[in-house]
Amino acid sequence: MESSGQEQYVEFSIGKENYAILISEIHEIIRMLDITEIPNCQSYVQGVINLRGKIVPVISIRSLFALEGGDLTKSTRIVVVNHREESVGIIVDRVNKVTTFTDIQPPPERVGGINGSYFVGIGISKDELVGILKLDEVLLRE
Amino acid sequence: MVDMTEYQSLYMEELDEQLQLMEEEILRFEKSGQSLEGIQRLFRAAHTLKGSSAAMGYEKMKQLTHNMEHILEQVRNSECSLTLEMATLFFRCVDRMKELRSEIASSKQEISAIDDLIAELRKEDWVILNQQSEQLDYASQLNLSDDDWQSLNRRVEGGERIFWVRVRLQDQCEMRTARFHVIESLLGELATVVWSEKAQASENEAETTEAIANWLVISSEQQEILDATIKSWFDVDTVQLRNCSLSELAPAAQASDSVNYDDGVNPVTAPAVAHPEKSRVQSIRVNVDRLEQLMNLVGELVIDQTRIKQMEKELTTKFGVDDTVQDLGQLSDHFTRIIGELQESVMKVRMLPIEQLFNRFPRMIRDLSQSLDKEVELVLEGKETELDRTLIEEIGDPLIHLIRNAIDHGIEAPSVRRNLGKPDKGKLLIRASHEDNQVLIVVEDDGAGIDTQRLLQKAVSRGIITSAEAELYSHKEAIDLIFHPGLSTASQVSDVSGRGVGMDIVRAGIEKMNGRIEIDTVIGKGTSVKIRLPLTLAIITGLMVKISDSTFVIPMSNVAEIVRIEPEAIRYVKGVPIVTIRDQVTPLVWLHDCLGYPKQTQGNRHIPVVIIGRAEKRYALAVDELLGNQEIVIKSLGAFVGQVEGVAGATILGNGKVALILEVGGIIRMMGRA
Repeated sequence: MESSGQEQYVEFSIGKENYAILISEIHEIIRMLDITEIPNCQSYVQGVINLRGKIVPVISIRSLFALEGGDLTKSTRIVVVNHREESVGIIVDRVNKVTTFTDIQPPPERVGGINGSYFVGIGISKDELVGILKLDEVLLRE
Repeated sequence: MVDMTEYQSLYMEELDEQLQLMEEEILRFEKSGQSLEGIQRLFRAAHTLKGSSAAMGYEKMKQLTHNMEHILEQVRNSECSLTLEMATLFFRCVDRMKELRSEIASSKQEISAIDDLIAELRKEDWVILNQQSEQLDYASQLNLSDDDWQSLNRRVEGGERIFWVRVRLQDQCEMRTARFHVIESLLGELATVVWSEKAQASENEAETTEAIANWLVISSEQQEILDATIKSWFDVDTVQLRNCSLSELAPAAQASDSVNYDDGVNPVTAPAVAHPEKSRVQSIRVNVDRLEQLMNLVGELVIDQTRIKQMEKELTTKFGVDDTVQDLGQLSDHFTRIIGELQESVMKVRMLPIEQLFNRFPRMIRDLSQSLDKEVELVLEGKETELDRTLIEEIGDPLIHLIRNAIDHGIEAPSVRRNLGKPDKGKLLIRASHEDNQVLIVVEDDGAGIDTQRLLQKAVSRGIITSAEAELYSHKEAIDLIFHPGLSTASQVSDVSGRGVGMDIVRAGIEKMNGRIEIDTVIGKGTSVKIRLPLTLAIITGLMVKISDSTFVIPMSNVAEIVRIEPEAIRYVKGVPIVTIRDQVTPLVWLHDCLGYPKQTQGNRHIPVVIIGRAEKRYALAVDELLGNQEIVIKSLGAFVGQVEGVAGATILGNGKVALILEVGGIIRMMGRA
């Protein structure tokens, strides 16, 4: 798992932070859609969208990680991932690029104030450090 | 390595089917005694399972079915007869096989031991040798049509006689099938053949064909003459003749069961020809997932169709009378009709007779009544009533719970019943039928009924209601208390029911299906529970309402009435807003509060209020705007979001947006807390 240099990741930003998800876990990336809120639900679940006739829940990593900001912009995207045979959308501010990492370090206990268990590791490429999300943990149902 | 996964699922399906069949047959035997056809079916089920289990490599399954088959073969060959102990043993075998089945399903391994059962199955002391093994009697295999029966009667009155004829061919005879045909046509010159049982012309090799054939004939000839004539025919070794009386055949004339052409001697080599009428049924086995997918696709079409309708409306307002727009209108109308029909057909495909579920009950009730020492007569009606297969799955648990309640709390012990002047055997009626556009399921017993006074006392003692409230409760309202979580009237907790976590769960389950439950009870006379369900879970009519610019759907089945009220009409009792509608005081709630939206200041406008009914109770839900009703496709929010209180699911509206479907039961629970 570690230092597998050839696996491709999609790198995206939320605020000033960069994160990445393994490309094979991503189903598609779409523009922002109308989100229908679900009352009485965990706050990081933003609601549901209609993805070509399928109801897909959308979560906000920003709210999960308690990050600043959050205005919708032209570059806001929903990254739809496959998780336990279901699609889940993740709202991101901007999708940057497809990338590979020269090295992946195990995550420290805390990554900039965020619980380290949300990450598979920290990907290192050239001069950048990117948190690779562990979907199983991020999408954990409580 | 061969990929067995596909066979695996086929095997599991077959296993379920055959086990069910076995259970039915054993029950039937317990109830009405041994019949050749029943044994035959039991044998065939065991035989089928033995074959497929061996093919799949499930050794324990194979051994169990093999030993059962062995006994059944002896029974079938009249070497012994089936006893009640044997039936119980068979039940245990079926149960063990079910255990094995779930083990196979979860781990693909057989874990449970079967040695104890095998030992009992192999025990020989139950084998009662049947004295009349050679008797010439096939009446049980016969099935006479009315016409045949009438003409037999007439001819017997006219002095003719009926004979059973058995012919054995000489061992060296070849082409036995053909020989039997010749004999039959010769026989036809002497007598009229009513029934015959001979080896079928099939792919079987000549040497494996039975050398024995049986006929039932009616003839005016003397028995001796017949005997001598038949003996003189070529290749005939022995002839057996027996006089047959009309009374012997009477049951065959009344038997409405399907014709059984099975040769009764050798189904192992000739099962393929056993049921000619079965092959005529034109049906195929389809994986449920494919049906589910089909339904989803139709659901999407329904959504698109509402969108097209909406676009057409918009275009008409934009362009007025325009040829192309009109064309679009016609097209869209046609589209609507076709989709409507498609939806109906797909729904029908998904419908199954409720028999599937009902068949599980006789066994369950037998075991239950035995363990509780009660006598119960089960009456199942309307087995053929069809409903959506998902509903059949979902309604199972609530129904089982109701049945348990009926036997445990409802029907009294035989001695108590005798003292009350009731028959020893309690009656439990389970009936399914269609009513309007709904399915009605009734579970009715003639037991003790529900003691509403005790219910009220209990509710008071547990602090659920005050004694002042209790006095005001009507009979119906008191019965409704049974749905309150934490109330169970059984004074003693048995392992069957009475843990106090019963009826509220039953009701929640039924409401999840957009159904309703109603209880009627007369103390000392019995209880009747009525459940009404929609025909399908997938598509319902919904009332669209607007709350703070969001659209929500309330299932139409829950809506009792829609009214508009003036803001002044709302009164407060101890801070709880209420309205009086049709002389009924109804608690009012703003859906905004339940769902966490800001309440809009509405000035002096009338407030639209949706009255939802739940048994005898009514609740008023205030909304911002009513948007009319519409057919909607229910979609789940998915496992990720999971259960959300007050939300039953979601649907996609004509404008492509997602609207949430409210779950009335949950809303009411939230109101109670608010």
